[in-house]
Parts: sequence; C-alpha cells; structure tokens
Amino acid sequence: MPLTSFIFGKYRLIIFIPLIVVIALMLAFSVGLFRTERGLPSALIGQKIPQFTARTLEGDSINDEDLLGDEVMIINFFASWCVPCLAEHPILKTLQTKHNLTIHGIAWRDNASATGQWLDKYGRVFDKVIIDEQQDIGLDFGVYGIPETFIVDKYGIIRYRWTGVLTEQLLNDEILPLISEYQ
Amino acid sequence: MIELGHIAITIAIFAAFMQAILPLLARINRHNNRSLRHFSPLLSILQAGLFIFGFIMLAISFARSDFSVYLIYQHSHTLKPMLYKITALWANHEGSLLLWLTVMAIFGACLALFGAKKDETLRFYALSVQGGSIFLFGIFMILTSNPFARIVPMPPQGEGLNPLLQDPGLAFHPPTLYMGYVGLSTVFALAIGGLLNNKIDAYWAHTTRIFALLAWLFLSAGIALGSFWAYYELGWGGFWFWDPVENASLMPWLLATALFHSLSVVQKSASLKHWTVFLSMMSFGLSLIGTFLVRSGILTSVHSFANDPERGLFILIIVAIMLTAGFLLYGLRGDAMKEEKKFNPLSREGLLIFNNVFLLTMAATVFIGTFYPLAVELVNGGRISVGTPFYNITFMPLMVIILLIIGFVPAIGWRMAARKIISKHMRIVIIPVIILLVAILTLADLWQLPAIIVLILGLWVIVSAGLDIAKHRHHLNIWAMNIGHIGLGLIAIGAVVASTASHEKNVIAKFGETFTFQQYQLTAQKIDSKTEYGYQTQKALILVTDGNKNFEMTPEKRFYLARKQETTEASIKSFWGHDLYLSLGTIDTDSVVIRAYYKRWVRLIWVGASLLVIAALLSLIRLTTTNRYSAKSA
Amino acid sequence: MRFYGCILLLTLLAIITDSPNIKAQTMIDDSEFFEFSEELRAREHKISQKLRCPICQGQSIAESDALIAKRLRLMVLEELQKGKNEQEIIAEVKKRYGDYVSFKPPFNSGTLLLWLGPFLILGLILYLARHKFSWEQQE
Repeated sequence: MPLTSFIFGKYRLIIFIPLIVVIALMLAFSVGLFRTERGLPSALIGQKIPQFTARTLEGDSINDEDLLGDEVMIINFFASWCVPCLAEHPILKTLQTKHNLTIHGIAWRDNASATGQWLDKYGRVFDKVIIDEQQDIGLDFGVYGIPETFIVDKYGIIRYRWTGVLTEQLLNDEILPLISEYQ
Repeated sequence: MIELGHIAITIAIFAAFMQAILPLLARINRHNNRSLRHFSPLLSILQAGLFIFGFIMLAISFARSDFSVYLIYQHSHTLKPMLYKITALWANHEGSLLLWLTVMAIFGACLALFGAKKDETLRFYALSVQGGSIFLFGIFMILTSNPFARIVPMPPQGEGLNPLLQDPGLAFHPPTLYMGYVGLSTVFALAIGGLLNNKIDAYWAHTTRIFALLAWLFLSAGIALGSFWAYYELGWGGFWFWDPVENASLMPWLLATALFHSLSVVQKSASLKHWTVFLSMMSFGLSLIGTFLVRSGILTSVHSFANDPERGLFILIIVAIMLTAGFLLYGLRGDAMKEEKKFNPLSREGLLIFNNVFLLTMAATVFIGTFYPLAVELVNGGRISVGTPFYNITFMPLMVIILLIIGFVPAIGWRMAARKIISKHMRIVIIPVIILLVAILTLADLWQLPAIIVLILGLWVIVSAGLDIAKHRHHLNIWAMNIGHIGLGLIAIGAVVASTASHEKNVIAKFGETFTFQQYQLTAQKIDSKTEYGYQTQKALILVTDGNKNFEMTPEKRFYLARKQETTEASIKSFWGHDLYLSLGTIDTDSVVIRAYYKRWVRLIWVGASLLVIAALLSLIRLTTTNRYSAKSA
Repeated sequence: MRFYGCILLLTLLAIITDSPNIKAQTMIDDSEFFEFSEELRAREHKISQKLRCPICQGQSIAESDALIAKRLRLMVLEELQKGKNEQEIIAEVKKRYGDYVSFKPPFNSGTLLLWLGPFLILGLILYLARHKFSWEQQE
C-alpha cells in the first residue's frame, strides 16, 4: 500500500484506534515495570502523631505530648526478639551521636524485662523507651512490621515512614536530607 | 544427552525463523513459490518434533536428578517424589517457557496438518505467523532464560524441595492452562493470515472456530483446575479471589468465549468480521499480557514466577511487536472488509452482538480492576486495593444480564424478529422454573437474596436449554450449545450459593468433647505427631457423625524441616449438597482450634465446568466431521 | 499458595526466635479470639473478610495467620465490643493503614475512572455497535 495514499487519508482513523490503544498500553506497562517497590506509604504522613498513653521502660506514665520537643525527632519501633532491629542498631547510633538526633524507641509486642535486657546488652540509643506490649500504639501508628522508623518534625507532624532495616544508603539518600529540610 | 535437547531446541528456533520469513522469500522468489509454500507445514512438524524431543530430554534429566543442569539444581532434589521431580520442570520461569514454546509448536503442527486445508494460502500465512511467534519467544528463552544452562562443577544435591510446589493439582493446572493460552496463538495467526490473504470468509471462520474452541476448552479446564486446587489447598474454602494472575486467565477466556460465538455470525451471515478479527487478536493479546504479568513482577501476586524487570521488558517488547504488527495490519487491510448488514436486536445475530458487547465489557472491567492500582501508584504513589466488592458491583450485573439473554437463545433463530415467539417461550419455560424454584427453596435453607436471584436465572438458563435439547435431540450442535449453557448456569448457581449461603464456625475443641456444627457432631480425639519424609506432621483425628453416617476426618499441620515452613492441610468431605471442610488453628496440649466450614453446592461449580469442556468437545466433533462450512451449517 | 506467603513471614519470625516465650510474643494464639462471644466473632469474621492483610499477597486478615493480620482482627473485635458498626471500624483501620487495606476501593476523584469505567465502556461499545441494529423485520 503506497505511503501517499496513507497520507492522503485513504484510511479512516477509527480503524487505527485499536493500534493506538495497544501502543499506549505497552508504553504504560514499560513505565510501570521499572518503578521501585517501596512498601506501603503511611496513611499518617502530614498528620500529628496519634494520641496515646503508655508506660516507659522504667515504669513511668508517658503520653504523646511528652515525646515532642522543638526539634525534629525519630520514633523507632523495635523489639528484643527482632533480629533486623539489631542490624540497624549501628545506624541509629550514628543518628544519635553523630547527628545529635533525638530517637525514641517503642518496644512493639515486647515486655519491659526483655526490652531492658536487650538494651543493656546492645546499648541504648533511645531517649525515651515506651513499652507497647499489646501493640496498641503500633496499631495507631499503622505499624505492620518491625523495624519501622518515623521522622517527626518539630510540630509533631509525621513526615516520613520507613518499614524495614535502615541502611547507610537510605540514611544518606533520604533520611538526612529530609531531617535538614525540617529543622 | 541434555545437550542433544539443547541443540534440538536451537534448531527448532532457527526453523521457526525460516518459517516466519518464508512469505518474504516466496515473494522475492516467485519461481519457487509453490515449493516454498509446501515447505512451511513441514517446518511446523519439524519444530514440534524438535521441541518435544528437547522437552523430553529435559524431563528425563529431571527424573534422573541431573544436577549439572542449573535449572534442575535450583528446583529439584533427590528426595523429591518422582511425580514432582518431573512437574518441577514447568514450576519455574525457564521450564514453563519451554512448555509454552513446546505447546506453541504442537499447535503449529496441528494447524499445518489439520487447519485450513482448503485454503493453502491462508494456511501458509498463518503458519508463518505462528513460526514468527515461536521465534520471538524462542530467542527470549535462549538468550535470557535458558533451561538447559549447565553448572560446573556439578553439585551433589539440589535445592528445590519447596513443599508448596509438591501437589497433584500443581501438576496438571499449568500444562492445561498453557494449552489454552497458547492455543489462542493459532487464532491470532489465522487472523493475521486472513488479513494478509485478504479473505475473511466463511471458510476462514470455520477453521478459526475450530482452533478457538480447542483453545477455549483447555483454558476453561485450566482455570477450573486452578480454582479447584485453590479450594482444596488453601484451607478456607475460597475458589476465586480476583487475584491479578487469576484475572489474567479470565480475560482471555471471556474474549475467547465471545470469539467462538462471534465466529458463527461470520460463518452464517458474513458479518461481524471487524469484531471477530479484533477478538481473535485481542484474546491472544490478553494471553500475552497475562504472561507478561506473571513473569515481570509488575503486580504483586503469589503466582509471580520472577521479579525481574529486565526480563519483563524483553517480554513486553515481544508482546508489543506482535500486537502492534497485528493491529497495524488490521488498520491497513481492515477497510477491505465491508459490511452493511443490519440485524434485528431480537434475532440470533442480534443476541450474539449483545453477547460480544457484554463479554467485552466484562473483560474490560476485569482489566480496569486489575491494573488500576498500578495506575494510581504511578500517578501519585498512592496504594489502593481492588477486590471482590468492586467486582460484585461492576462485573456481576453483567453476568446477570448474560444469564438472562442465554435463556432466550433457544427460542430465537437466525435472521428473525422474535417478539411473539419470545412470549410463548417464556410461558413454556417459566412454569418448570417456578416449580423447581419452589421445590428448592422449601427443601433447602436458602434465603440470601443474591443466591435466590442467581438461582432463578440459573434455572431459567438450565430449563430453557434442557427443553431445547429435548426438542431437537438429534442435532449434535444443539446438544453442544445447550450443555455449555447449562454448565454456565450451574457454575453461576454453585458459585453464588457457596459464597453467600455457606456457614462456618471456629471452636476450641477439647479432646473427647463433642461440638455441633450444622447437622454434624464432631469430636476431636487426639493429635498424632509423626515425622515423615522431610516434614513433621501434627494430624488431628476428628470423629464426625450426623446420626446416619459416621466418618473420620484428619486435618493436619505440617512443618517442613528443610525450609522451616509450616502448612495447613484441610480435610474435606464432599457430598452433593455441601462440603464439610475442617482446618486446624492453634494446637494445645488438651485442645485444638478447629475451623469448620459448611460449603454449600460447591460441587455444582466443578460439574458445570466439566459440562463446559464436554460442550466444547461435542462442538469440535461436529465441526471437524462436517464437510459443509458455508452459511448453511453450524 | 497465598496463605503460605504469610505463613512464611510468620515462620521467619519463628526461626529467629526459639524459646517458647518469644514464640508467644511473635505469634498470636487463637485462644485470644475466644475471649470474645461467638456472636461477636461471627461479626468480626464478616468484617475481616473485607480488610486486606498489609503484608500478604492479597489475602484478607480473616484468612491470614500473620501477626499483624491477627492483631487487626483483635482490633476489630475490640471495636465491635465498644459498639462500633462495620463502617466505623473499617474507617478506623483505613485511618491507620490507608486505603490499601480495604478491598473495596474508595470512591473519590482519583477513582472515578475505576468505578465509572465499566459503565462508560459498556456505553461506548454499545454505541459502536448501534449501527449493526435495525428494527425492521427480517425474513
């Protein structure tokens, strides 16, 4: 079929619509193919941290207000029985010592004695440690596995959530830039 | 020896390439046109033979646990039972690709030997398209996913002892499903062949219908087997989850159903050619997209073989090449198919047009539901889920309309306007339907509205079809059509009743104590702990009685040592009206948590699916034994 | 199959920890559910079938044995006991875990195409088919 006829409109456009749809579909798929899996985004981003009342490791009463300061801070959900939590411990330590960040720890589905022992053994990077034995706080934060880490700005608004082990790369690529942005 | 298989496959892929370019060669070399055309079927047979040989070589190597082959090392183990050693061949990405190619080659050979015998040009073109498809998938396999790859030095033992893959259902579900998916490749080839040949006529429709029905037969069986396996294996009595990969098999099935219906209109009335060509290409297109889905990891699903974007891109390119070529050709040649006939909405052609409309919409609905979460994620990173509630609102109403239409079909003939006949038909059918409905509702405890609605519609379809068979019992095609429709009616009734009218109960069963569930008294006696070949099992012994019969049921929990995985094996006792289904929860020293399900009318689903297969078979027999293919037949 | 993905996760936790104490922490015993009445449990089951397990491959929290799935089921039970109805409870769970956790996609400006799409397509295809029909009598 001569190209000239094509250009001069011998063919009605409508008959090429399936072709156009197919091409668009293939392009859409190729874009979708290379996106990275980032886990569920938190439903709480942009909201204030949920209200709660609980007990610290030492046995004192504590609530959400007590966690807020006037700086960016980090809330980390962990447990003594969680091996990946151990793996990210050095990263938390770096955040605490090198970058002077306040990190609060919430022991998810764990009790005070086991948590205390674990912290004694591996070192305590947390400013305050809250025991969330029944996962109530975890539910309110939308935690679905540990370790999970939240970045909270100075007004108490949740800005970021990461589920899984923190890595050096994540720290440099995402976490530190975000923290300096919200300082 | 495995290398022989490897070589055979490579030759076959080369042969496929030759076959694909034959039309080009024939055009350049018009002198040898005839002999080149006769060469094509031979190439198909050669490819089939070589692929089968390669497949068998690989299978034998699996059986002998030849761990020098990397695939066997990854997916097999000396301790595996023989059946699962062999089924491991296709329970992975590379091996299933080889299965895909082998089936494609076999279908190509069928096309060469039995298809379009009266139109050699059509067959020539169709075979070259088939060869082209085989070539594209073949180089994908050889270059990126070669099942024959070796590992040096040969490891002493394999790694593949995944208990989840050792299941009889898993043995038969993939091959059957693949025969369906791949069977549609011939339909695609015939569509392109027909366009190249500039002849979409009654003979084309006849030939394409045979292959469409064949593919549909296997696709129906494959989907039913998958659903059956899920029901028996997963432990809570579900059989359809609108999972992306399930949807990936449903979409081609819907279009294939529309296709073989639409083909009869092309045959009888030389109409709906555009629709039919579109359906021919799109049904295989969705089959290809389904393959892409499963192997690229683009959507999360338990079925995903691979999570490999590079491989996914390669497949996507192949799919894009095939579909753009097909639809481009349609765009360029389609206008040659001129159709001016109009049909009365109440004629059989009219109903078949509606059939196309609704089935296409259903396929589009499933497509939207499956891919929308992906679209949302790409646009703004949000994550949503599209599950059963969505499909209940959007898909089910269409199903209801289809069932309604089907009940009218026996009364409505070709090229007629059936107003008077319809009311007469309704009067005849309604009476048995009402009688049956009343009987069922009084005897069965069925008061859920969706179940009653679908029951009425199902009975409408079944009685209408049954009466038609009784009236025209000497015509095989009448049997075929109505058995198929009855099958669909049974599936609909069974599925809706099982989903909405079933019962369940969770109990902490103390050993020795009896609890009641529906008409049964159940007593958990004890837990038997045993160590079997590769796993530890805790089997609960439960005595069940309903006053008349007594039997034992043994649901268990298994812990597979090598992989530290725990699985639950449900215990199922099937009767005609219901299945009693027990599965275990937490096991304690003096009690065990039992989840008991009373799944109603599930058997209707499997019976209905079998009827679909029987109907397809009858239709195929009719189509392949008739010599007339003009508008007068079928 | 999908059920097993969850069991895998669950057992991964179990591999890490060996002592029975820790087992109790990383798994929720079914007996906790039986502290609620049978009626409440039946209602919970209906609601749980509509909620998706956040870490599984498409299962509902009713079908999964994963820790978070069971904990969410207990949450549903607790809320039911407080007197909340199905709509309120699902909203509560969505508030914490996002729209992903409901099998019924939300109906908002972002999902208009999703919900209306099937009907629009039906209309479109019927429109494309309209010229094939004619009410004139055939022979």
